[in-house]
Amino acid sequence: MSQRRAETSGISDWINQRLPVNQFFIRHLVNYFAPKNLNFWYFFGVFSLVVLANQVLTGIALAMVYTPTGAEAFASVEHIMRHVPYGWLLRYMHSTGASAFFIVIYLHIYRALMYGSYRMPRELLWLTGCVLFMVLMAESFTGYVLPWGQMSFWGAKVIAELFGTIPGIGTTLVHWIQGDYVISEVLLKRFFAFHVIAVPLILIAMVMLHIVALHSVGSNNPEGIEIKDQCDRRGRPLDGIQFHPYYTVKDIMAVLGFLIVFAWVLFYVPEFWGLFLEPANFQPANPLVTPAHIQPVWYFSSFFAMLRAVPDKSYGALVMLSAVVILCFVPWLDRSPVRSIRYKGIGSKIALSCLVLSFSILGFLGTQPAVGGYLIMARIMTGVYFACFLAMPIYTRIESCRTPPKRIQG
Amino acid sequence: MRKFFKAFISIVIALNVIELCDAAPIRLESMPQLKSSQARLISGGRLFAQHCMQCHSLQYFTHDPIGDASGVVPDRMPKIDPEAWSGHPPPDLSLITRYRGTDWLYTYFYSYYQDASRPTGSNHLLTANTSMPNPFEQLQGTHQLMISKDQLSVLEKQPASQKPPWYRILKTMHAGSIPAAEFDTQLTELVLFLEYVGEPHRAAREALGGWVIMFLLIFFVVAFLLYREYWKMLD
Amino acid sequence: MSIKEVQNTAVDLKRREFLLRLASILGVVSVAGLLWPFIRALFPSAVTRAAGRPIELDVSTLTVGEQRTVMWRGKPIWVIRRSDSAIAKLLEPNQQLEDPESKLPQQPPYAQNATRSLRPDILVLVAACTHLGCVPTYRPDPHTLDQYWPGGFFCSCHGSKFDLAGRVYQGMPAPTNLEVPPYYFKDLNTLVIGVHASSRVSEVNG
Repeated sequence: MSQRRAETSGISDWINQRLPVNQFFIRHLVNYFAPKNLNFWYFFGVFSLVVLANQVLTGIALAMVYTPTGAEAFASVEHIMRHVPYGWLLRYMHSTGASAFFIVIYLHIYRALMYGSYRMPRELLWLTGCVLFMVLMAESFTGYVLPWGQMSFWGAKVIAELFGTIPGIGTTLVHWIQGDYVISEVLLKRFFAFHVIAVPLILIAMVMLHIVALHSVGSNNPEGIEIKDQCDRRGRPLDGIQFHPYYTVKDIMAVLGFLIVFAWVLFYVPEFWGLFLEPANFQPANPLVTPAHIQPVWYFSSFFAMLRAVPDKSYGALVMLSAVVILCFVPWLDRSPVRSIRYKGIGSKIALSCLVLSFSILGFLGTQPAVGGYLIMARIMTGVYFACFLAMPIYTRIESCRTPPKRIQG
Repeated sequence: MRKFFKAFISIVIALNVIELCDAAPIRLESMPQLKSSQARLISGGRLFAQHCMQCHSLQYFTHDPIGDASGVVPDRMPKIDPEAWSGHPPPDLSLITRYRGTDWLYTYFYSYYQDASRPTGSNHLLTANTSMPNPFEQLQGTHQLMISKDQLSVLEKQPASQKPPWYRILKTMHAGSIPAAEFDTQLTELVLFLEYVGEPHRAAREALGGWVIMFLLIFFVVAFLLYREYWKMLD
Repeated sequence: MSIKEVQNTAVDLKRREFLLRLASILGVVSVAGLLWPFIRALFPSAVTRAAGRPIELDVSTLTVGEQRTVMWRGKPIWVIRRSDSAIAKLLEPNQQLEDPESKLPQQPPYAQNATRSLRPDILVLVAACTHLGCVPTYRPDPHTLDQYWPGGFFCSCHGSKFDLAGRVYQGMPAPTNLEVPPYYFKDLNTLVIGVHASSRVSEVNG
């Protein structure tokens, strides 16, 4: 027995001298100190990792049976759903995962906005996150086209037409993107390549950067105070606890809770009443018949509403793009002396509520026809959305904040 | 946080309420809650084989026990040539319930009414001027429109909640060869069959879901106890 | 470490150990459960399985000496009607064969006899040489290959020779007799290839 143990440690020594596995584990899990007061909102980071793993694994399995051609794409999805053993499960895991990804990421972003996780010294952490969000949008959009149903086809067409609005080079650009004069399987094949190889590579590289950035500056916390400012004699943060075992056990518990909800959707309401899998996408792509209502899948709905709110197509596209890009500037727009919403003034609280509300209302409006009252509402809400960001330097400076404590209480 | 959840949930509910703004003059009828069983699916399949399969295919539905027992098998499905149908071939019905929903399909067969101005002699409330005659006219009998066509187009513009059900504007002209209640059951079985065709693994999915969720719940409890065990040390 | 901490740790060590072990077991079970659908998905799909269903063949039209090739699960299968003289030759003991009594499981039990078949005249074989999978040629007539050739199968790839029951001769590149697929006779002349008489069709559909 003892000899065997010596042998094992011999192997692990042999490895560790050449590849610092143990050292890595100790540095990033055991000697990595996280604030002791991380709450519910801090789970969404690990949830997004779980969803990413789910998407990668099921994606590989699906790519083995999916056929990216105009004639067979739709039928091959039905083949997966009907004939491949457990194909239905893999496909629903992937489609539910796509929507879950956005739910988790939106809540993750909301948490960062709420507790000021983008403030100095976490600007690059925030920026890598913004880039990740955009890459994720590209990934999900290219994926959404692959089933080659009516919504896939017409969604791709609407987005491709946006590029046509660029003055001067628009039409040429659209032909270059499509590789054809219309949306055809040429685009489908390109999107397949992007969806399964190019974008995931970038996505995973960015996730690694995001985590490296996080581990170099450490987690923010709901109080928005820096735990590294108050250390003991050994240099360990007084309000920090070891990530392992404390947050590993907590995260495992949370992930299981998340998986229960995920499994419930996956097994009982995979269409999620037409939000996750839209009815119109159960019809094969048909270039001759436009569906009665083209609406984007729910997670793009808010941005789509902003696009339509602007009367001019080019400016609409610009507004939609800005709505995402403006997130990148938040670290420099926020001028508050404190990080967390808990100690910020009334202005920030109102602004954050308005932001959530306008984004949600825009999400609803994106599913409705852009006429009459809906259109006016969409315009107002687009204004509110941007105002929340653009007025940030003003309201964060003039509002009166409370002084956060030096230490985390309790 | 609570505020955020409330907003999120209200949006989900709002999205749920939206119906496809079809320009139909009637509202959709809920399908009777018949419990699906193997026997019902087979009998629905037989109805499909007798009345629908001359023109409609189920191209994604391959051999399976229900299909084999009811005679809905790939070799007997029509090969549809769009040319022969002057560009309007009868659609494939493999996914009709996933696209339209079961209530729409159920209401569909109650929406035929006699209309001498049409070449088929009948018209339809959900898909006006359809070229498909009622496949169940024999069993079901015929209906007559009780309001004028102008009133029909007024109804079309009303919000979904104010539209009448089909039986408010149609009345029976000739009774069918079987009692109405029996036809209703047969029709429901047909819709159940097509729902099955739309997603044959649905029953397996829901059965597996129970086990998976049960396992995860047990695991969650263990993980929670473990979490409490470790975090106790911090108190 | 505070005193309280030390106490807690001492008291709960057993309980924690137990919970850790339980959680690890559940973790392993969940990983296995998660892998299962991924592994299953790699097996032949329902379409492939449907295409690989047993096939039927009417052997009454087969003339003596005739060879017919049919496809089952993507593999060529020979159905051959042997002449009475050929059968008589197979029944004689032959010392030149590698496995004259068909001891190796290259055939279902019901074909483990001198003619390696259910019906003495009808031979059903997978047309793949047991050496490297080439399709052998059917040479039923004696002396057509060389002067000693008794009639049988000859693989032109590497020269393996088999008798008219598909049994390999000694010293050939092919190590074993040709494979006999599962089959049975539904009635006197209806041959069903791909399933044993006793197996249920559902196994093939499943």
